[in-house]
Amino acid sequence: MARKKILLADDSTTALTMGQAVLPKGVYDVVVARDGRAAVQVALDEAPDLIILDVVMPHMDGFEACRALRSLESTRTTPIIMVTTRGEPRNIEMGYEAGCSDYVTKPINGTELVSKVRDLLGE
Amino acid sequence: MSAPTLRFAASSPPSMHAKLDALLSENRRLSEEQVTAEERLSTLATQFVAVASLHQAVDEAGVVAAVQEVVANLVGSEEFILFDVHSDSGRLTPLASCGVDTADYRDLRVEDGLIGAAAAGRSFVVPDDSVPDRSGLTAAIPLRIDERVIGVLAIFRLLPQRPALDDGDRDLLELVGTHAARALLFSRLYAGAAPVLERRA
Repeated sequence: MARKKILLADDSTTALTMGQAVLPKGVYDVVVARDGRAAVQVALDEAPDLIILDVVMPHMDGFEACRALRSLESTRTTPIIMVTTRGEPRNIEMGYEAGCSDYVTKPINGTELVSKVRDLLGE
Repeated sequence: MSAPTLRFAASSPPSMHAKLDALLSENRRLSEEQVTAEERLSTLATQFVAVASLHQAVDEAGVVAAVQEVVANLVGSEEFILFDVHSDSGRLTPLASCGVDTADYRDLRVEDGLIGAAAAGRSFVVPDDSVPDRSGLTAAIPLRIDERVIGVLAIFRLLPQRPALDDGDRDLLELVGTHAARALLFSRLYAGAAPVLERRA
């Protein structure tokens, strides 16, 4: 069975390393982007099965990137998990309005993240 | 993915029912073990990432940035002060901060309050059932190399979604205290040695 591809977009090296450490290597191929604009481009180039998008990123924030991804034919239905630093309801609402499928809050909990990834990939 | 449900007709032999019960019980036990293993893996991943982040930097600014990333991404706070501890004068001076005004923390001495106690080697993490004081201080962790404390990491308010620090966070903070101290010491030694190394290259 082909491995699922996950795009991890965050400007923080620590967050990217954490994501790569908790997503099982034999199960997923992980590609990364360090800002929102790059995330949209990598999503077009790599056609990931799922996207994990940080909210606070340079050039284009996670909300904008999410809206951009939803406006593109190839990523219109790709599951997107937003990673928010602020867990306030308004922030989470903004994520859903932008088109995300689910969200996690920082600090990143590996078990929670992997569980949401599995759910969204139907595993 | 949910496991297929096994059912036997009421008329099935009793031994089949016993086997089914045993299988279901084994399935439950394995599921619980998987959850425990995944939680343990997540904890170890967090600790690994913290240590790796701190040791990636070669200069002091890089170490401070790594501490900020670890505190925000792995501990869950955007408010901290990193202090230098001057063992000769017994004073603490803020080396870097994020989200906190350092004006009230410019003239601390070793043994002065909870931060000063950390400078003397005693960690503080606000207990689960306690509310942080007015300053919001949640943790004060010595940055220690063997028995020598070279700094203190003071963490103030946690992110709104984090009610308190747990045992895993305490272990993580102790690890950060040890490795941030080594990373800072290395960055300072490297800054002194870099010109010599460049001349030799």
